[in-house]
Amino acid sequence: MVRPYIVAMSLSLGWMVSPDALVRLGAGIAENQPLFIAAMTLAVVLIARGTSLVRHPGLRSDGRCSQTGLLIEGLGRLPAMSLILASRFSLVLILPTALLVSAGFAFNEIFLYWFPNFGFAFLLLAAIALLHLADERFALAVQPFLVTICLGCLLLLCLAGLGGPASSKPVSVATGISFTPEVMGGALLLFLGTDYITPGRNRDSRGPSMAALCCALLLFVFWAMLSLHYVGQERLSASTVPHLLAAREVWGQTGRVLMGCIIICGSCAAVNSLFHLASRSLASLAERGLLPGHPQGTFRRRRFILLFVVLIVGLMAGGVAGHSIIEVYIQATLLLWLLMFAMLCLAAGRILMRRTVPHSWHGLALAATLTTAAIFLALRHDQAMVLIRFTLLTLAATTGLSLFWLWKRPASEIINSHHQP
Amino acid sequence: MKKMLLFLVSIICFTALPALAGGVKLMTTTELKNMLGSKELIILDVRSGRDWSTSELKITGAIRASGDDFDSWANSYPKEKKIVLYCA
Repeated sequence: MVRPYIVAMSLSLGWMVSPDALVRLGAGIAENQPLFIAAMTLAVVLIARGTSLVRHPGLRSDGRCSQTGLLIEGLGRLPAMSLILASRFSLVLILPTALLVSAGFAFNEIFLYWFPNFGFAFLLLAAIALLHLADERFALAVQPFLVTICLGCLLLLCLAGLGGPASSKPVSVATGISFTPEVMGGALLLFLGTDYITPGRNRDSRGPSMAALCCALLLFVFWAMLSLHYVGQERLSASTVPHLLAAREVWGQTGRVLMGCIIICGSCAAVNSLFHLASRSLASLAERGLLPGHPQGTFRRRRFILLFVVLIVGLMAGGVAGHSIIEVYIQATLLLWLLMFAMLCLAAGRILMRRTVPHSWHGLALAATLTTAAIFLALRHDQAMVLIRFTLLTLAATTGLSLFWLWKRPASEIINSHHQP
Repeated sequence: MKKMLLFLVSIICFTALPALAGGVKLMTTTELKNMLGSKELIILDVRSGRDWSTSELKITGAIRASGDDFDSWANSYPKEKKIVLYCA
């Protein structure tokens, strides 16, 4: 009974324990100090409310609901197909490319200097792919271990920071409060991942999401405050690896090793959960006959896993991770994820309003808030034009593909209201 | 410092072939170590993207320079100084 709960929670935490989330956390706390903690708290409240709507028991008789079914029922087939394809494909290709390379560098610099960083990144990718190719159950079984290692190491670092002596180095004390709207809004991107968890039958699926969000917020707040205390705002702000800097200051070489474990396991957890998320979303589309190129009910999961791996290897070998443009693509994919979550809230809100569920208008308000935040974050990005062009091109491509597929197979889709991906 | 030196050795090994092909002189880690802090030395960190941003090992005082914009900065440093590039 406990296992599905833990698996669902660990899948939700996949992105949150990734090194990229820690970098964003470090940069955010350095930029906005205490205000960033308030922004994170607000972000968790918004995401938690959204998740409670998306996973509202009233949406399905047994309290479960699929993203695909929800989007189709709430917004229609074309928006559902376009959003799912755009969001999932960009996520599963871009984020793993960057995260695995980060893990490779961490292994090379912290554990074995002679081991090639790209070699290690490819090894990790191969290991995760093998898990998914062998059986999805193996990938799901590994996820809690990876997340537990990350949370355990971060907890140890926090305890060491709380219990140990403060740094011998002088820590700068920032005066006044800095307010950067785009950094504050960026807090929303730290807590993505609670929108797709699929716990066992007849369970309220909101529990694992809420537990994951609370757990992440608590650790993030502790870690952010310790980082600020041990490293100081100026050095944190200037560093591209604030998490490693803070770990080193908190616990020396042991802290570096622990953070190295977090980086490697966090990258694996994020990639593992993204592979699961993408393959489940595509399977859900295929079962409804809405996956372009697939007759209804035929989804060859292993072929898609192989396709993801080949494309990621191509991106890594092509040097995409070694180019600064990768950061723009990552931001774009995260904004697409946020946009998809906003649309899920909208769909859930609309359906619940039709069923006269109290406070269901929250879904509409949340959708408007999150969409506005996504647009604002896109516009305020350093390379806004590149980001917007990438996002629009991705959406245009998936919309075109979906339109073509719906035109080619207009009568094949059957919506099963009790369907679960 | 030992870690930094090991890092530099790995960089030199990685870049040896292209450097030799282009006729660029190589520097040992000991040579560089002895020169660190010298005013005659300019260290250019030509790593980009995640190669640079995820690395914890950055030589203090190194100047970032993009390999893509070589022509734009190649002539901006005095030629009488020793210019060291590292890229991995």
